[in-house]
Amino acid sequence: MSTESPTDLKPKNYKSDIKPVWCPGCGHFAVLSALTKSLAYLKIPKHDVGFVSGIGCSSRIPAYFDTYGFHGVHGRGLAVASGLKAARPDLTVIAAGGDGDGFSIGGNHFLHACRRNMDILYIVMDNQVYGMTKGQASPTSDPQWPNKLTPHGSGIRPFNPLAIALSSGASFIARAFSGDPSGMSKIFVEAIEHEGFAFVQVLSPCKTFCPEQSEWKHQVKEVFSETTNDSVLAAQRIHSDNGMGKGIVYQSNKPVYRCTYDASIQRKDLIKEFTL
Amino acid sequence: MNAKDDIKSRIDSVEYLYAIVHAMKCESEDRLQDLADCLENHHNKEAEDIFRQAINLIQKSIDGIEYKTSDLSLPSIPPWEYQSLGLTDPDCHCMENAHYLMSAKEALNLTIVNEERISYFLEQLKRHTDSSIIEVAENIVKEEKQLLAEMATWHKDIEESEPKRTEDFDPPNMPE
Repeated sequence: MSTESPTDLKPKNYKSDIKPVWCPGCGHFAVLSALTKSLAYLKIPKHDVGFVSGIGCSSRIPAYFDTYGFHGVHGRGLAVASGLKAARPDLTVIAAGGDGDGFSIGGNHFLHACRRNMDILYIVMDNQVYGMTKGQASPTSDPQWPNKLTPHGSGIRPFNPLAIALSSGASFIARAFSGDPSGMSKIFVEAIEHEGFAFVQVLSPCKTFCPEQSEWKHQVKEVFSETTNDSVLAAQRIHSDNGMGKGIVYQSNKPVYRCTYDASIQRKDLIKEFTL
Repeated sequence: MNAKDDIKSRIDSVEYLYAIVHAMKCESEDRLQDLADCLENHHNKEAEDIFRQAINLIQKSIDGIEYKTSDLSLPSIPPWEYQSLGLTDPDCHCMENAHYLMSAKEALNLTIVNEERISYFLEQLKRHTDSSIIEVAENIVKEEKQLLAEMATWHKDIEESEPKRTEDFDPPNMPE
């Protein structure tokens, strides 16, 4: 990792030498680009960023950043990110993954990360498919979407990430679109600056397994132009949205979970605390 | 106030204009770099070479702007400021039309469309009230036209008999 002064850092300085293996046309390139712009805008030193992910196409992203990073196991990015933040509260911790990683196997970690409200940014690149394993329905797939594993569609109502985040206690909830990288960059800046758990769902089309998602650019609209700190109003807005509205839905100040454990405690004293 | 009037009122100094153009060119270069690296990973050398040639040309243009503005203090523009000027990001054009089997011709056409955005944006400043801004905009448009003309000559170097996009024998959604 090079040691430029934060004021000299341009977006490209945040990128590593590893070239992304994503398909040409993948929405994740825009997420990578937007996040580098956000970090450069905020002048965050590279050594102060910890980037954690799970498994999937989206989860390859830490390798493409010239920051500290950890490519964890499937669905467990948030668990690792929470531990990192507890141990190193000084770091800007960003967790990233896909819809399958975050809402299926990682669903439970998602609920409790929202509940804890630790100061972490969680980005889910939602393409409504398990892309890395070549095109299976994910929790956010349309119930009628035909694919090789479920040729008649999954038949299951899709997960509503924003609603789940709100009801679980996340204090910053937003949706972005990879076809609007500038808008996405602005959302990331506000999310990083927010004190607490910031959840950003990014609609990021999968060009290879869901070519019909190229229509999203005609469907995504700036719906949440005014942020609210009223959870009831936010819930109404989320439930009246068709899943294509972008913007910051909800932002409020809630107590942030911070680890208060004193690391200097001696082992023998720690054992005494557990003695019955 | 329509979008064009808004751009004219928002671009209120030569420094701001240069900063916007510089930022747009850096964006273009970054996007083409992503595409070139991506196609290198997908072993499409013909399209990769086109993007790398375009990157060299755009880098020279960026160097030119930096040289001209070395005595000026350019404002720092937040990444989202393009949108408020009615500009779409290069990603929208570049990335969605890319394909790992794209031909050199397709790569070149995509690059040209991307570069034309800058000229289109500058053309809207022709009726600005500030003559110094008009002069700078016209000079940059002239340079852009030269750059685009040079890119257009690359069509001749691409073989006439270049085949259409190669059939993908392992498409992602092979019907059963």
